[in-house]
Amino acid sequence: MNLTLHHFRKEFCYLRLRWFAFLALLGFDLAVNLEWLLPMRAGVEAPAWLGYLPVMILLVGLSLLLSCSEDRPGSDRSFISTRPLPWAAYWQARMLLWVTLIVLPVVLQNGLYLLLSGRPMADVLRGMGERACFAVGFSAWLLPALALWRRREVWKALFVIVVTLAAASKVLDVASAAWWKFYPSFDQTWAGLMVGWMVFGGLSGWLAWRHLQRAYRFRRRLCLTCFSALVGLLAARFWVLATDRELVAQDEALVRALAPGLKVEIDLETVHFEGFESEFGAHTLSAKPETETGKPGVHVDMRLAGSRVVQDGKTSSAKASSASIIRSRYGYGSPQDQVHRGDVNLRDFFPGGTLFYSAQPFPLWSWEGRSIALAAFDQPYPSAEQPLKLATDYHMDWYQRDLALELPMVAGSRAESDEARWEVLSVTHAAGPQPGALTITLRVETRDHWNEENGSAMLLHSPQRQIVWLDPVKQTMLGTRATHTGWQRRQIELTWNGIFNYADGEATGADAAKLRLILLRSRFLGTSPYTWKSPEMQLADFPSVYGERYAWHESRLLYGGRQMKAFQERMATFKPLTADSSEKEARRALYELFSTAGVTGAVYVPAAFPAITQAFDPLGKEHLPLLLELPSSLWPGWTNRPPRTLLDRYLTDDQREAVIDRVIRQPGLADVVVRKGWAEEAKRLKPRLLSGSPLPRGCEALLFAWGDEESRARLLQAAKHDINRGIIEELDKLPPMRPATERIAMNGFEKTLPMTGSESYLSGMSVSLAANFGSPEAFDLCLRWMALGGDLPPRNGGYPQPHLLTADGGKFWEKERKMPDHEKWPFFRRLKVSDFEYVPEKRAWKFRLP
Amino acid sequence: MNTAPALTRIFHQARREWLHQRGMILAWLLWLVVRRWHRVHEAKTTFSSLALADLEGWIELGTLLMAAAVVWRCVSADAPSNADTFSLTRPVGQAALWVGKLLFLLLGVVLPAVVVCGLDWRGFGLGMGQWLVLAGTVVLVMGLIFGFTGALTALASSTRQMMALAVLGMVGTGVWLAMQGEVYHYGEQVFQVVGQQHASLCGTFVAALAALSGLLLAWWVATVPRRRLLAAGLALLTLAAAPLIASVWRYDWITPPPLEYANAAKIGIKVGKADKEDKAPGRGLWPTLRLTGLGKDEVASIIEFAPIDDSSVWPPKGSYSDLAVDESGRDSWLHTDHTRVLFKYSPPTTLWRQSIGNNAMYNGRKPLPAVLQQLRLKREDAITRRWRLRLVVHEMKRVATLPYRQFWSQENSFLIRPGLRMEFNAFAWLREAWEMHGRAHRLSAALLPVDTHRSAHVRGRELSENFIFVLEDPDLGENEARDPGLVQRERRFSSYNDQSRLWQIDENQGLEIRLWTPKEQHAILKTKHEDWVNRLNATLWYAEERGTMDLELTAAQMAEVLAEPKAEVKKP
Repeated sequence: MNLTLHHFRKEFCYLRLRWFAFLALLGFDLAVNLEWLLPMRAGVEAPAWLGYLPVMILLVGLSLLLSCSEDRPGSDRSFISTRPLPWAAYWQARMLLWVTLIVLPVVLQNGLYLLLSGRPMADVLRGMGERACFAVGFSAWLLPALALWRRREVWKALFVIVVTLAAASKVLDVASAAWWKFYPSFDQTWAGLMVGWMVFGGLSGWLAWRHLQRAYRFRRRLCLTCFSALVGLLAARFWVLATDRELVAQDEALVRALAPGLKVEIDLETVHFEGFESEFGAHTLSAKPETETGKPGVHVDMRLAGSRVVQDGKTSSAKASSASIIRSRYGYGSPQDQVHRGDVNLRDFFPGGTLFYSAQPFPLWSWEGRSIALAAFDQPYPSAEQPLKLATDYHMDWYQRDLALELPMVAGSRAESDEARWEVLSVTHAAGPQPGALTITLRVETRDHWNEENGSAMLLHSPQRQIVWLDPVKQTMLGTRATHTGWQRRQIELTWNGIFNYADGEATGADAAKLRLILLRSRFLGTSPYTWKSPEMQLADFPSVYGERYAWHESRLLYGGRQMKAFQERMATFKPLTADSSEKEARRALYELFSTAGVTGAVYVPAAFPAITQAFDPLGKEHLPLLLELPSSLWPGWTNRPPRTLLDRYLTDDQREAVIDRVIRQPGLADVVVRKGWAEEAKRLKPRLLSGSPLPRGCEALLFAWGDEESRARLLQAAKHDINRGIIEELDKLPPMRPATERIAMNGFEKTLPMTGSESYLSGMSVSLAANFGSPEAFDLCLRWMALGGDLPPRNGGYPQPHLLTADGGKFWEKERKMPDHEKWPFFRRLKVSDFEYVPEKRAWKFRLP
Repeated sequence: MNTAPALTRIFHQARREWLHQRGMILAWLLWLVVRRWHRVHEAKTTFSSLALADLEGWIELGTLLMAAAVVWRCVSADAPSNADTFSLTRPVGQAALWVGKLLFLLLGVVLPAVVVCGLDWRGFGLGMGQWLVLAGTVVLVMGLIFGFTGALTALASSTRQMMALAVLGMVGTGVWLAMQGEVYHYGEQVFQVVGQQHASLCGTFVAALAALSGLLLAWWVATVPRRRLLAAGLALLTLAAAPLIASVWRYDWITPPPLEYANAAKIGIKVGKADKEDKAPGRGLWPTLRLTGLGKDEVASIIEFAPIDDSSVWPPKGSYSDLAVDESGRDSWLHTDHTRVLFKYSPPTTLWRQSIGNNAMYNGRKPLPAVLQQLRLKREDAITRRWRLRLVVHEMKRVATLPYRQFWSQENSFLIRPGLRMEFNAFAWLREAWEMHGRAHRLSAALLPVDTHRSAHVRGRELSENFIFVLEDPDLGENEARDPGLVQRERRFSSYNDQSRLWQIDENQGLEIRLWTPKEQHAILKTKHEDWVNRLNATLWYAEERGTMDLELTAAQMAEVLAEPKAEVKKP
């Protein structure tokens, strides 16, 4: 031990100046992190050179491991080998130097920083532990390196190892991305990096030991060190796969308590099947499940694990692809994504009637259109035409959201939670790109431990205006301190538009002091298993999302105001169809009619209907079979206007059975069947339409025509997912069905987050439907939503239009069409629910005054 | 005493260097070829796995290090600061030694670099001046590497000293860069106006010339007279002076003058509702404001339209523009008027579809009441003021008409003007659509304006070139106009592949056209995808700028433009 201490003292004497410099740098870093020096102040940006401080500390720290030149065992002038110092004592001294001069100061500095930042002891210890891993991982490899390399070899070795690692890292990225759709550098975690460094350090130590015993040649040492470095790189990059992103379950007991009561509803009305050969659709069978956890603020995310398919008595199983098994770090399904879940949990954090605003160009907060895979299939695929049963396993990831912080929008206000501390440094009115904007500078201190993957979002709530802005329009990072310490500090500038003024300049009356800045947080609770078992079903019965989509792409701007003229001029250039015309000529004529009427927009101009009818006449008279074969969605225009309504003029009873046969595949013909009075004969389709698979769009006409209990029950089932609300409005005309339809409308509203600004439109439709069914809360939301019409971004989902009647009972929206936008929004702004009375029999709100 | 003529000794030294360094030179050539392949691959390939590796910076660093390594090996072989160097006793002479090494470096390193880079300059219609400047900039950049590494190596008496000096140089550069970083706002991109950018570019060029001279001189002084202290002083002085010169330089010889619309005198304004009897009603900006005198393929776009207030800056906040910055990240500013001009090139009853991504004009030009509202003006106030209308005029020019099949299945490129080429990849099924990716490829010397005039300046940015891609179906008499969706540099930097190097512009402004097979046609006409591809033609149209002009409207004219809406007469 004396020899060990002796050598330690000798090395320390040599290194002490460097060590004091190292301590001074650590002290400076501590002072900067604690803001004793260069504090973060509103409008004052941190000097850019602060970013180089950690690199400087690392380099000076590493230089402490370069012992005095005569004592390097790898050196060709190695005096140490002639000294009466056993290797064990030498290495003990080196280890002691490494621990006391480097690791310990770094760890203690971090602990001191966390203590002085007021962190609880558990966090202080965790932060010190992580810092110790950093210090050990980044410096341990240099200890054996001194024994491995001679003075002249160091640069060459370092150069070759760095180039090898850089090249290998790039090759690994390209290869993984190409073959496994996995990008290791992108998914690199800190823990993985530490593991990699430690592996490299360990292997280097073993190599140094062997080298001191057997005296390896330079090339051999170089090759073996490069190999060690590659093993370390692989460990660092693929550690994430072994640990599944190391997301820490924060409340498994709660998951265990809630899991038995989890309700998962997969309505077959929402199921789509794209076919096994389709180019479209990442999932061949998908649905939109509804889940209910039974606890406010808690939701689940479903990750597909695998499926078992039973068909013809044979069972086959398939696992989900690794891309869906590995929880992605960014984007859909990531822990951060969970906070952006626009659902009732989010809505219920705020008082009833609160409107949510998101100006994101893509539906970040909206879950509209998102669906999950209902099954994993492997080749050979099951038959889509044969019945099968599915049992699909999911990992149910449980998340809990809460409002972790809330503070008034006043300079100097502060708030703190267990994992964040905010302080508003400055509040500036109208400093944004638009009038009425609000800009604040915020000091944000947050927990920053490894695997700290709680999702977070900054919301702005105005109780006065009953609005929550879900995202700022601008967010600028002005400075960051103390990264990787366990408690990070940042200065952020945030801007929201339209807080104090509407886009047209009118004051909103909002008071900055009454605005609340909120931290919405999402925590990962844990995972539970779930298996969905399907009823017996045929995949071919389910519609495709992409397959049968036809559109004529109306050129509104090019033909605006001259739709009919353009239609007539173009149709006049075509040769009229006769009885002798071939099928090819008939197809061409049909295409010209549909295309011209659709693209010019004549199909929406009532004055053009006679011309369309006239052009359709020869087709209807001479080419009925051709028309009957057309997919329903190919017909342009409104369902109750030409050309869609023209077909039944030419159909006779001779074609009745042929038409009915085609209804399931071409549901647009259902209307024709009803109009022609063949509904009774079409009852043979009833079993198929009443079955569990989705109701073909358009076939509701037949169910309405039959009007029996079963049909109405089926219609009620379909009405829940009817985007256009046509079914529910028709059902509501039947007095016995009114309570049920009202329940559907109100249920829809109860499950809706009223969100304006985004491209989502379903939310507005649910709100307006509930308003139509007499909900004052929904109607109030509609009025406030419409008042914001001028503030909506260019691409938005529109605003709800509840049924409104003028004081004399006329239809308000017909009059409103003539009202220019710049008058419309201020007009709605002045309206209140009390200015209307609800007329239940018309499902509409009537102005009290003219 | 030197017995052989100077030239002989110089060539002898150069030949000797070749014998010693040929391996490095061959590796350098190979590296240049790989670098060129990578640049072309990056520019052309869509969603390449290689792009994920982000090798650009590494390859550039490799190029720099490799060139420096050749110089280092070359100079350190006869290190003038090392008293034991064999060359000091050779009869070659220090001057011939220095020139011989320089000659070798020029032939072995610079010449291949110029030749390989020059392969990329073909096909851009560049003149001799541009070629000379482009080659000159490569020589200058390589010269700077030679000067810096040569001087440093010549000053060092051993490899260790060389490494120490290099590390010091890197640390110094880091500190300097960090100090530069202070100038910019942290985390926020700072936009400079074009004039400032160009002045700064001129400054760096002059500073580089000064640095080149100083560093070569330092190398010479360290090698020929072998005065290390003076050479070190010269090198340091040069390195200190160069950034200073660059920062104080103000003279800009690059920015060309703006282009005024040549036929501005012929342009007239007609206000009020169009008279049915009027045979030349003009082109309507709004129904009550029309322009006369525009050429047949010319289209006017509104840069700004707002009242004039002599006491404040024009345009005021809220001024109307057709060319507002698109938030979607696309540089799409063309509008319906540009499509309409193309109507005359097809039979009159052709059915046109349009897919143009100008969000600001998504619903057409804003109506005048909305313009007033945006300016916070009431009609009564607006008609008492003079208004200014700033316009930019573009002429639609046909670039090429080709069978669609050619676009579908092969790469195409079209020279638009000197220094600008449109390059298209073949169509491919990507991201659930048929996508044709391509780029507006700009290549020229940054030190010489490639055009005689600069583009119109709209709201803090230069209006970039734009195009319309028209799919023509002569059989069905249908056309579809598509905007190629060029990306904005600021918002889609990943698709704006900027490979510009010092004093060279080499930018690839990405574009993508996404479309789907017309299923409607196939369903009704029973045609196949291949029939559709074979039947169509595709025409690329270029909106060439003709210039900008200002027009003024009097209060009386504005009263007619903002005609009072007629009160609705209620029917009895």
